[in-house]
Amino acid sequence: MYPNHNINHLEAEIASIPFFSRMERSDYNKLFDNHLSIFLSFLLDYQKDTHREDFYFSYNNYVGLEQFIIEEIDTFEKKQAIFEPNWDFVEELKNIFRAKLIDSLESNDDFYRPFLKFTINTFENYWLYQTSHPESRNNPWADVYKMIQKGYMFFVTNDEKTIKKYATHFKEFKNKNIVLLVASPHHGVKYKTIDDSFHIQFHIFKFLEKNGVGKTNAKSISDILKNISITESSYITKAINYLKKSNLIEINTENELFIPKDEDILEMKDFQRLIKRINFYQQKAKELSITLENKYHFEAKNLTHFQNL
Amino acid sequence: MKEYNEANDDISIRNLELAAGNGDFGKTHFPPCYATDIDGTKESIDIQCDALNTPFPDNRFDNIIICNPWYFGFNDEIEGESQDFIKEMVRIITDGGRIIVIGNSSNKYCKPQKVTEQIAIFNATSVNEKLDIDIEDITATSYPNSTFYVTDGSRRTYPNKKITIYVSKS
Repeated sequence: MYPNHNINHLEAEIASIPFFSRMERSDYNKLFDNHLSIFLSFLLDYQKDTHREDFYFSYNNYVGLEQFIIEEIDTFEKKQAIFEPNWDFVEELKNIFRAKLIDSLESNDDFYRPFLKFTINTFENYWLYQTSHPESRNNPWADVYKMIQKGYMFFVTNDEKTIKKYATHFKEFKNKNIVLLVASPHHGVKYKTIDDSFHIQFHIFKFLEKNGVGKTNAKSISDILKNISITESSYITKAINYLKKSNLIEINTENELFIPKDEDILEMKDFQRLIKRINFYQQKAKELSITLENKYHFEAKNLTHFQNL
Repeated sequence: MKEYNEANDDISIRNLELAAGNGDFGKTHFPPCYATDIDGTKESIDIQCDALNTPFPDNRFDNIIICNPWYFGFNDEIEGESQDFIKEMVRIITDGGRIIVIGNSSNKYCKPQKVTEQIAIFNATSVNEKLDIDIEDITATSYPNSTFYVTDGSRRTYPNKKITIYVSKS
């Protein structure tokens, strides 16, 4: 039995999407970067079976990762799905979404065809993932789905001719990454170049894989930068933040980076913070005579060992 | 011959692989075979072409081979895209020809259920051509000497279905 995704409820949700009502870069810039970062984290997590020496978000790399994740959802989740993707449900939902999108566009013009194709594809991927792992917080399309919910239509490409067709101000590629094009019939087409933070993430992680596994091998950022070949250093902080957010690396109290082993959990800055917070809230709860374990089905007693360390 | 030119077309080559990528599946298992792809920069590609709009004349090939399609095939993002794709394949294939699709059952562009539905739509609307479909399970050892990759060529994928579409024209 599939989880109860109510088609009528979702149809109403789709009907309320404010397609093309606004065009603000801040609405999609970070969301799209987050999406790419999750794709890349999957590649880094499973790169041992590839011989990749370098990485840019080229169109082929993007599409290859998309295909791999859809075909290997369980690998991505690191656990077997209880449900197969609900193909019939997703097809029905996709048809509703497509009709609404085209209706809002008020045009059958081929001009918007790549935008429609990519946006509908993204919508479908989100729901294929969602129906097989409904409880997951890792859906790699969650951030781009938010772009859809905000009413945006978009696609990615590596093809300069195509970019210039839609984004007349586009001058030239600054790197080897895809370009995101966002369209609205009322606001025109805007583009976002993808910066090299993903390229840098790749190289930092590769370096740490060879030299920085485990807390005893933590490396300072300056050490890492001396040993990797990157031409653009402006995105290093962003790259490190994304690696950290993906839980691929950890940072110790000296601000050095390392790939954690299981036994390194106690050294992790976040873990220390978490323990402090739990202690704080447990104290508060005690003052209010609330037992966290009972109220939130939260096995706080298992943390006692760590709290006492 | 990256760009198709009828004058240079070797008509003894009766098989065609669409979206061959870096692979040589068609050439290995259905020789002699033209390898085509939308990206003509790949070394293994004989002819650059878009699978939805090929440059070949009508009734040109006996077999069309498609391995692990992505972004084209039997899944509609734009309504009617799959039918356009089927019509294009039927146009360039001979009477009695076969379209052979090798893929993973979780690939939305060649999932057996979707292929079957699209073939049924085609048959319901076509007057002169009919398609029959046969679906079989395959394993990693079904095609020795062949390794399958996702679109960027960096990771292996493991097809588990072979779909054969038989084309008859009247």
